[in-house]
Amino acid sequence: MSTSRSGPGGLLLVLAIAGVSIPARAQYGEAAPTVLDCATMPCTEVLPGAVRFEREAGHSFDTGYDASGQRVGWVGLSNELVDVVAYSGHPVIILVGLDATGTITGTHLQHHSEPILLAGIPVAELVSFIAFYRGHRADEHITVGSAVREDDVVTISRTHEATETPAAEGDEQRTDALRFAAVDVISGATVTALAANRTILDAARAMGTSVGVIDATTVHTGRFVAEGAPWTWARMTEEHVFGRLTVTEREMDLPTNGVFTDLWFTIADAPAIAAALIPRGDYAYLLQQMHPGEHLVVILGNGSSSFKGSGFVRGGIFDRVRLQQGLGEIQFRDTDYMNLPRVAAADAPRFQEGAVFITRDGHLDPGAPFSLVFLGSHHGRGLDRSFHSFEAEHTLPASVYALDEVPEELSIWRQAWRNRAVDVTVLSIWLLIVTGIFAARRWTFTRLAVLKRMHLATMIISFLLVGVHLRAQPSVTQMLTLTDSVVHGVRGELFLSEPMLFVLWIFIAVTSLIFGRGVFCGWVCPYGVMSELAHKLGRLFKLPERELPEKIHRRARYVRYGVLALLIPIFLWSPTAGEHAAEIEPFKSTFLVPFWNREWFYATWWLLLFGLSFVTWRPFCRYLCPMGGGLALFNSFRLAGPKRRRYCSHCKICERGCEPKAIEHDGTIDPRECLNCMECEATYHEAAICPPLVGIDRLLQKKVRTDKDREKLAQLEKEREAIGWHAKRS
Amino acid sequence: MSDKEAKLRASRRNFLQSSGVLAAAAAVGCGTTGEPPVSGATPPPTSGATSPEEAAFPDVRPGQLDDYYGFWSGGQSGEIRILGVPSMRELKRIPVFNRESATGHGATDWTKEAMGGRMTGDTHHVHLSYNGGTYDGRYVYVNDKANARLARVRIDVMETDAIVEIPNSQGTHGIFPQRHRTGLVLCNAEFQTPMPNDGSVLDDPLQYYALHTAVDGETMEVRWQVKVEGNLDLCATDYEGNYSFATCYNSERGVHLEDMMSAEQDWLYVFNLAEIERAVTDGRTTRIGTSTVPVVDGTGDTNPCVLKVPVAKSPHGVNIDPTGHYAVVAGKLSPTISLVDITKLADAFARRIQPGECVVAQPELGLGPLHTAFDGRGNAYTSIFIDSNITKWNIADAIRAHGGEDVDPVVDRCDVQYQVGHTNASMSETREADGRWLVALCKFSKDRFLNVGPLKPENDQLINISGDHMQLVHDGPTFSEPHDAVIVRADLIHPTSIQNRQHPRFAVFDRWAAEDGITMLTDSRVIRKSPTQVRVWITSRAPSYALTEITVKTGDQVQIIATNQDDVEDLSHGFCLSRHDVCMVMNPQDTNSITFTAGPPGVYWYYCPWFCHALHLEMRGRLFVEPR
Repeated sequence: MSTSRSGPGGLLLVLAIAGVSIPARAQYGEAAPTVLDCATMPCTEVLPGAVRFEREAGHSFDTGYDASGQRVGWVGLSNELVDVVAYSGHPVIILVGLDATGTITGTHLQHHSEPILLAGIPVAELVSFIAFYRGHRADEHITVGSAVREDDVVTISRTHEATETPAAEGDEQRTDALRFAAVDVISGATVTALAANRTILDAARAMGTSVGVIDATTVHTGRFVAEGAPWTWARMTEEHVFGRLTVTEREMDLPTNGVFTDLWFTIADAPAIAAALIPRGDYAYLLQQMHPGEHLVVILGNGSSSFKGSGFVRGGIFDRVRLQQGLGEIQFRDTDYMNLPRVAAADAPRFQEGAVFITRDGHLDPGAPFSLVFLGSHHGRGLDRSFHSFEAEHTLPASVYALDEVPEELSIWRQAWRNRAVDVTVLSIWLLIVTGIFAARRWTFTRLAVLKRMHLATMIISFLLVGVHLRAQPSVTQMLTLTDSVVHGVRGELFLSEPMLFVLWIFIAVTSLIFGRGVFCGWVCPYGVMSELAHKLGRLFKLPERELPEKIHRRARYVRYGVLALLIPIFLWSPTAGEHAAEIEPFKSTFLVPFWNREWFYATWWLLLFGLSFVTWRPFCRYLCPMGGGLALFNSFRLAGPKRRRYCSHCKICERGCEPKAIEHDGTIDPRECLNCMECEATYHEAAICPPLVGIDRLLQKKVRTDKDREKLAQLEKEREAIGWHAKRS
Repeated sequence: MSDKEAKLRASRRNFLQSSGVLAAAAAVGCGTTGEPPVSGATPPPTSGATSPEEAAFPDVRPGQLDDYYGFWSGGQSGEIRILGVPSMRELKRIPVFNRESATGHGATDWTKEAMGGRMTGDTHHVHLSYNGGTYDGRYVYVNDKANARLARVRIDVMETDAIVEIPNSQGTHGIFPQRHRTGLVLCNAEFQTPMPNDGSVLDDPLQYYALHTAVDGETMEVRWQVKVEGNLDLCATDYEGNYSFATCYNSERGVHLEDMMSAEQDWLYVFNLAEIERAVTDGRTTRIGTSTVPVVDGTGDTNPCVLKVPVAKSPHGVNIDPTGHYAVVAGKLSPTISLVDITKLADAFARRIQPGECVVAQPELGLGPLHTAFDGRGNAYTSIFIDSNITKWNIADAIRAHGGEDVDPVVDRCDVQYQVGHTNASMSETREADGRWLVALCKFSKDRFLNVGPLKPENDQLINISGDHMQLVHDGPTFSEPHDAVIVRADLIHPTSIQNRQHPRFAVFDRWAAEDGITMLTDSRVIRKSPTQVRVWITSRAPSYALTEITVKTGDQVQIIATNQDDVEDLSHGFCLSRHDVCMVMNPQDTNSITFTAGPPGVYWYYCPWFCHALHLEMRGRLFVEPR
């Protein structure tokens, strides 16, 4: 993260796209703004009508006022409000405006670090994506990229069951149907879109719940499940019902080292927990006092300092303890409070003090982690008073509060998979077919002509389906990210957030290990097959063929390893720079953004490589592709590569036909170069081509066979048997 | 803040089981055996959290709360007091029938009206409203023996809500609300009087009667009365809503002491409520004097509404055990307790059995048995006045002894100092009697406290009854002069901290405000209503009044209607005017009013008497009284 904020200097290039002004370049790579500054940021755009912006104490966002001094709403910079990282591992920083009705009044992309938007997708796509939110309520359930399904309707039900409580008026239930909307995903930048979605909604919700305009209905649905007999203290501690915050006097910079405070806290709505903590008449009373969405928070304390303090500050606010969840805060005041001098459970220890609070201020989601924040203070010399803030996070155990399901909105990768379920299925089927063709090659690859047709068809389908339709072009950047993960720590969600690529990489890993990386490179890789198809077209139109001289080729094929070797350190040094460098791959310009929409140098590079493909067989793949290089490195070994015969060093038929020049002069195949066209193997079975088979045929056709003939025939037959599909390796 | 830092930590260490609780302290045994109290008392079923090793002595440390509210009557002080039990700390006094300086009770407009101009009262018996055999936490009812009244206190605001006069009665003594729900509150007339008492009958005691009066506990209207011979002392109701009870120590209908104590047996009056209501519905009633309340004739020995169960001489207390099965009637001038089986009363009313057959045990406990409390474990605790002790006895054993078995029902005795009157135990008057604490309200303290002159406090003693043996654990001085107390689990009582402006007494303020076009919570204005009448609307917010100058003319009748805008817990203000005998309280969000006549011309400071702010002393203003 950058540490200082830079002003919107001359680098800001204002583009007018769809009526929205966007600083197109500076959003990327520039130092990210860290603090909202309405003097320099377009706060008036995201909160129309406001002319003056002020930050209220305790808020991490500004309040906007109109010319007459009326409050219009609030403006916040997302990174001050939420912590959502996008594809780059950094936040997309968005200016969000919210009005008093809880409606988002405007959004403005302030900064992003998304490589894909630099190199490929126009930033306008993200800008228009972000513009969608204007006019939507912050508590709407907005999904990215998929139509709203019936079962998306989230209901919040809350049931009080105070079975032994005469005052309980049966069950109290509330069902809220949330509002829904769907926003179109940004093609090729799903993760960015999902992250921006969360950034905007969470930022608006954080502001809205903080000022109370949003009754931030829980996004997690769940219910309190601890019912029946009151739990014992032992069980409550065993099942981690309580969070605990302990502060020593030394941590308060006091000379002594006793316990300054030792706080036990939990949400006590569940009947069995409430009954264990709160006298039943008090519980029944509290239930009557509670409104839907409010919860009971119990805090028990020991130590030399009181969590209640000795002077409730003016307004009856408890200034030493508060709850925090995400960026929402819940404060307590006298009218939310009931003294809990003693825990009801018979085996409970005695605490110096206790309290039951009703969460009237702000929204607490019992299904999500929440923190107790303790603000300790003590007198120093004279009038000095020092303050220290401590915080402990807690999540209710599932035995107390059970979530109905994992919240989808919060899980970017789950949403991505759900959104692309059909695509994932189609791709998986196709990849299984390709794998199946290879697995059954004893039958499928026996005739050269059939093989060639099959290969051509596969390439065409892969190009159209995987490339053009699904835009699922694996790239060296994923290898680099994987490397980065090894170095900097794994972000599992990142890999899962791109379902297409995830599936493809599994395919690559499995087929490379068994058959060789050529199954992918030669049959599936959208760019690779496109390049080969171009070459075939070139032949069809009888274009001249230009291949590198043998000597140069032998050296040039190592260039791709060099490219990879360069990319890795660049990427580790700066993912952004790495992403730039990886543009040596012409992939983005092929499938994500047409080359004519790209800067001239990308377009030129793409055209050069594409043009070359018509006259040279896969020029990029063979010499430059860092991903192919990376795969090849791991492919010195394969379980079931093309099979060879001992005689092969003599006839050279296969060697001559091998386009990637993977067959050495001694007849062995270099698995790093082999693209699994399988023609050499098919040739074996062509009695008309393969010399040994021709030999057998000729011997068989002899009317009179000499002993020598018979001996040779037996030898050949034995050889033929021996090939099988199991015994021989290349 | 000189130094603010954030340290982020989360901890979920196992709790180290610590017990800062002392084991039972050495006992000051007061039982006859002198044995230490037995620890391992049955943990109470509800809010208790008493660990078995908890000391017999109450342990309510600073910052901690009592487990029980104690509602004490205030005797001839006319008030109700709230004590915390077991700490016995006095938490509050609720003025009911008495003029009270601090709050202005009896001086403010609505209290003055409610009290009907009478500023004395004699509260004996406090009881709370019920639902399903336990307290519903809504109302407190209290009698006024002096002026024959019944008052109600709303628990949500803990202030007197209604006062009703009982017609044609004197010595309104025992009262008891129905226990199955908030229904009738039954009130006994201890003093028999002529009916009507209009001077037409004077010294003719045989024409004197006593009334058993039913007041509707919700509306506080008098529903009906039953006229009986003799007198009606203590009162009780069953748990089902079928009967009410009254002890009659003057079946002789005497007017002098020696007459009243002459008979060896007196009565327990049992009132058949369904039968009485039927008589009222059918119109078999009369009216007495100017009262419009229907009166049912309950005299005679075969009255379908009233049963006279003969009990030992001059009975006083009548208490129903938590099972609802027995009425325990204490003999006062006899050492004998009469145990009346309530389930047999139906047969007695139907004349299938003699009333006396309802008495199923008559244990002799000591000299001067008065009142009985229960622990929910089958034991009864009877206060013995002359012997000055609490005697614990077992109900089942008493019945077996009555049946001829050789068992001594007395379990334990605990001496108390000195001369106990009422006794009561935690939740004893409910189905949830939990047998933890018992109070003995002793009539004399003598040497138990520092000598404060000839008029000494009473001594309300606290006894731990959770063990097998009673243990005296606290002496509590009280001033004039609690009679009875009820001990109520704290989790059943939930007063508010901010005044509820929906309280019926706001109706009059709302009407006046509408009349003057005032929004009480925001507006302050001086309105001259007539040449001699001024109404002042004034709000307060710490530390100031919205009006710091008010101008009136001498001799004006001035009404101050003051509203406290503060909605912070415990931030009461007041209005006290110099040299005018004017002082009242306004609790948070409360409105109160007081009317006075403006004194001689001059400047008079008014100020806030209830501490509210660091600038509390500066919270004042001037009343300019102009010459007329």
